[in-house]
Amino acid sequence: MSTSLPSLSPTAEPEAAAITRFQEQFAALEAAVGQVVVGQEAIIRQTLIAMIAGGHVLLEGVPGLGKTLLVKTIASALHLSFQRVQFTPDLMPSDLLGTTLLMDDGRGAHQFRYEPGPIFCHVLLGDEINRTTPKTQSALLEAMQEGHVTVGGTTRALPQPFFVLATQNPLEMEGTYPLPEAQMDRFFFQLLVPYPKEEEFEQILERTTSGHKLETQATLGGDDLLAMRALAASIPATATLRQRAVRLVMATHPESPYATPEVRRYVRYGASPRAGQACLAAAKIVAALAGRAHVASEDLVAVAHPVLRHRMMLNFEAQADGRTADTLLDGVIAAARSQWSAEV
Amino acid sequence: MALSPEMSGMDSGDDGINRELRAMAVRWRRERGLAALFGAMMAVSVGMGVLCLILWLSPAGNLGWITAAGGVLWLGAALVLWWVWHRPPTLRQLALRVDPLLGGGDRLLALSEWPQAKERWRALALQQLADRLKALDLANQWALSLPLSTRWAAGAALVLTAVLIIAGGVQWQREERRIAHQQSVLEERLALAEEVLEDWEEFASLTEDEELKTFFAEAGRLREKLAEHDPLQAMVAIGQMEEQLKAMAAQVEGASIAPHAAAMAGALEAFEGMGALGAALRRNDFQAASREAARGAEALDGAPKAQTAIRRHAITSETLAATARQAAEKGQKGLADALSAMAQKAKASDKLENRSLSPSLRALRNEFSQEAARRNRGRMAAIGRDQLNTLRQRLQGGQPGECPFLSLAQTNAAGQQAGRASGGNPFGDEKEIAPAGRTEQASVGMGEEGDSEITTLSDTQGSGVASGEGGAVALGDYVELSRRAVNDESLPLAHRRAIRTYFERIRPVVEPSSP
Repeated sequence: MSTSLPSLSPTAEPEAAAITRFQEQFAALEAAVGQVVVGQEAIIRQTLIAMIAGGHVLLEGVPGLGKTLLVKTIASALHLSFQRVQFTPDLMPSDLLGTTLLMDDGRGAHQFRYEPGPIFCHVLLGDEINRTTPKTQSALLEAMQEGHVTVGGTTRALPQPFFVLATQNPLEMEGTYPLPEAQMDRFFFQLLVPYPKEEEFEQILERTTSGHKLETQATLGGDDLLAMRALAASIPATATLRQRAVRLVMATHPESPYATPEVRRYVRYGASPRAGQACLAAAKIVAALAGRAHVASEDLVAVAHPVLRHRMMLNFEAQADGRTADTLLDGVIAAARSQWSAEV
Repeated sequence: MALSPEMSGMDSGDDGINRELRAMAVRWRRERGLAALFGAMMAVSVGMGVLCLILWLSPAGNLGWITAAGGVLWLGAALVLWWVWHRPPTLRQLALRVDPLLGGGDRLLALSEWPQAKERWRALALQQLADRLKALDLANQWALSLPLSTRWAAGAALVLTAVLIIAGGVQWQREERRIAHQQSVLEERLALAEEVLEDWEEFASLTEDEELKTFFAEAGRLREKLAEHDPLQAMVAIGQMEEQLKAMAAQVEGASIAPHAAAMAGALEAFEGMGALGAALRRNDFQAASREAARGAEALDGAPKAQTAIRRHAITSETLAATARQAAEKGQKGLADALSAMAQKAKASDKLENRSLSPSLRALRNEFSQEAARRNRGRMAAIGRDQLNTLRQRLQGGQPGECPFLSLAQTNAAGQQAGRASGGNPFGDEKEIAPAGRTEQASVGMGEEGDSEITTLSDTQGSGVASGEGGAVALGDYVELSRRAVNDESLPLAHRRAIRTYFERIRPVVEPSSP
C-alpha cells in the first residue's frame, strides 16, 4: 500500500515527550513495587492508576494475599509519608483525626494543643477498615472527599497528595461493620485481590523464607504524582466518549433506558455521578499509559469494573441467585459494546 | 473522490492522511454498496414473489399494475444503490467503521470531533493516526467481496423477475384472447340484435297495422342504445319496449270477440247458407269469417227479396240475443248491435228477407275484420316479446344460435294472418283446427240448403314461409345475406360459424310448395 505519512510535527513533541515520561515514571513505579510484591500486576497497576487520579482504593481479599504489603510497598516506592492504622472495634475517631490536649507548658500555664492523628500523612493504610464502627469509619468521609479534617471546630488541611488505601476481608462477617454507602462511594476503586498463581506462589515462598529483607527504592515523589495527574487530566475526551461514559454509568441504574434486563432485576441502586468522574479520570490515565493522545472507549471498559462494582447496590434476589456486581457489569459492558458497534 | 464536507473540514495538514482517508471512504462506499445490493436484491426478490403470487391468485385485470410494480421495484433498487454509492461518509461514520481496523482506540473518532480546547494534543493524535495507517493493510484487513448471500439474493431476484415476466406474458396472451373472444361475442350479439331490428323495420314497412307500424318503426332507439355498447341501457330500452308490447297484447285480449266465436258460429250456422261462416268462426279464423260474411252479404244483396231460412229460429234468436248481451257487457257495441238486430229478426219468423239480413251480416263482417286485425296485432306483439326476450338473453350472455328468432317479416307480411290460430286467447294453446296456410272451400254456398262440406284447396302447413309477397322477398334477402356472409373470407372463423348456424336455423327446412 503506497502511503505518504507525515513526519512528526514539531508541535507534537512536547506532548509526545510528556506521554513518554508518564509511561516511564509509571513503569518505574510498577517495577519498584514489583520488586517486593510478587504477581498481582493488575492490582498494582490499578492501585497506581487510582493514586495518580487522586483517588482512594479499597482492597478486598482474603487474609494473606499481600494487601497490606502492597500498600506499604507502594508507600515506600513514593517519597510520601505513610501511616498505618489497624481498624479495630474500639478505635475512636480521635484516634484517627487527632485530639486537642490540655498541656502544661512547664511554667504552670496550661493551654490546649492539637495533637494530629495518623491521618495527617500522604498515604494512610486503613487495615481491615470494616472492623471498626461506622462512627470511626465516618471520620474518614471529610478527609477522603475534601482533603482536610475538622477537629474541635478547626479545619486542618491534609498533606497533598493524600490517599487512603484500605483493606477489608470479605469472609469474616463476625464483628465487622459493612462500610456505609457514602463511604464506599468515596473510594475511587474497589480492587478484588486474587490468589497468586502457582509460579507466583513459589516466588513468594522463596522471597519470604530465604531470610532476605526486600526493600523498595523510592522512585517518585508527591510532586511527580501531581504532575502525572495533571498530564492525564489534560488528555482530551471527545463528546462521544463522555456520552458513552455517562451511558455506561446510567446503565447500572435499574430505571435507566440503558439498563440491561439483569440490572433491572437485580440492582437496587446504581452508581453515582462520582462514578462517571472516576471512570473518565481513570480512563485518561489508561489512555496515557497506552501512549494515546486521547481517551478511547476501551479505556472506559478497562476501568469500568473497579470503578462501578462497589457503587452498585444489589437486591436480595441478586444474592439469592448468586449474582455479583461484576457479573452484572459484564452484561452492561457487553451491551454497551453492542451499542457502540451499532452506531457504525 | 470528494470527501464529505465534514471530512474535508478535518484538515490534517498532511496529504498522506487525507489520501488514506479518501481511499477508506471509497472502500466504505463499496462496502455499503454491497450491503445495499443485498438488501435491494432481497427486497426485489420478496416483491417479485408477492407479485407472482398476486398474478397467480388474480388471473385477470391486474397485469398492468403488476408490471408497473415490478418495474418500480427494480427502479427503486437501482435508485437506492445509486444513492448509497453517491453518498460520501461523514468522518464519524468512517471512524466508527475504520477504528476497529486500526486496533481500537477510537483514533479517527476522536479526531472527527476533536475538542477545540485540546488543540495542542491534535498533532500527536494525527501522528499516531498516521503511524496506524502506515501499518494498515487496507486490502487484507478491509477485504471486500460479493457475499454468497448477496449472490443468492440477486439470483433469486432475477429468477423471480423472469418468472413474473413469463407468467405475465402468458397471462397477457390469455387476456388478449379473452378480450378478443368477448369482443367477438359482443359483435355477434350486436349483429343478432341488428337482425331483429332490421326485421322489425322491414315488418314496419310491410304491415298495414298503423299501431304496429308505429311501434316497430321506433326500434331505432334500441339500436342507439346498442350502439352505445351499454348493455344496461339496452336492457332498459328492451324492458320499456316489452312493456309496450305487453300493454298492446292486453288491449287486444280485452277487445277480442273470440270468446263469442263458438256461440256465434252455432247461431249463424242455423241461417241458411252460412255454414262456411260458422265453420270459419269455429276455427277462430276471423279473416276467413270476414271474407265469408262479405261473400254472404253480396249473395243476399244479389237476391234482396228472397228469403233465408232459419233453423230452430227461436233457439237461434235466444243464442244471438245472449251473445249480444255478453258482447254489450264487454263493451263491444258494434257486435252487440249486429247480433241483437239479427236476434230480433230471427225471433219473429223462421224466414227472413235477404235485404233485412244483409246489413247485419255486413256489420258482422266489419267486426270480424277488426278482430282479425286485432288478433294479428296481438300475435305480432307476442312474437315481438319473444324476440325481445331472446335478445335480452343474448345480451346477458346466452350462446348465439341456441334459439333462433322467429322473423316478424317472415311470419306475417303486409299484415296478413300467418295462419296459426288460437282458441279464444291469442297467446294461449294452439288448436288443431285449421293449420296455418290452409285454404278451404265450403260445399254449400250462401242461400243454399244442406250441410256444407269443407274441402281443403291448399295447405302450406310446416313450411313456415311468408304467406305474402313481402315474406318471399325477405326470405330471398336472408338467403342471399347468409351466403354472402358465409362466403366472406375476411370474417373470423368464429363469426362465420355463428352466422352460418344462425342462418341455417332461421332458414325454412322445406321450400314453399305451390298449392
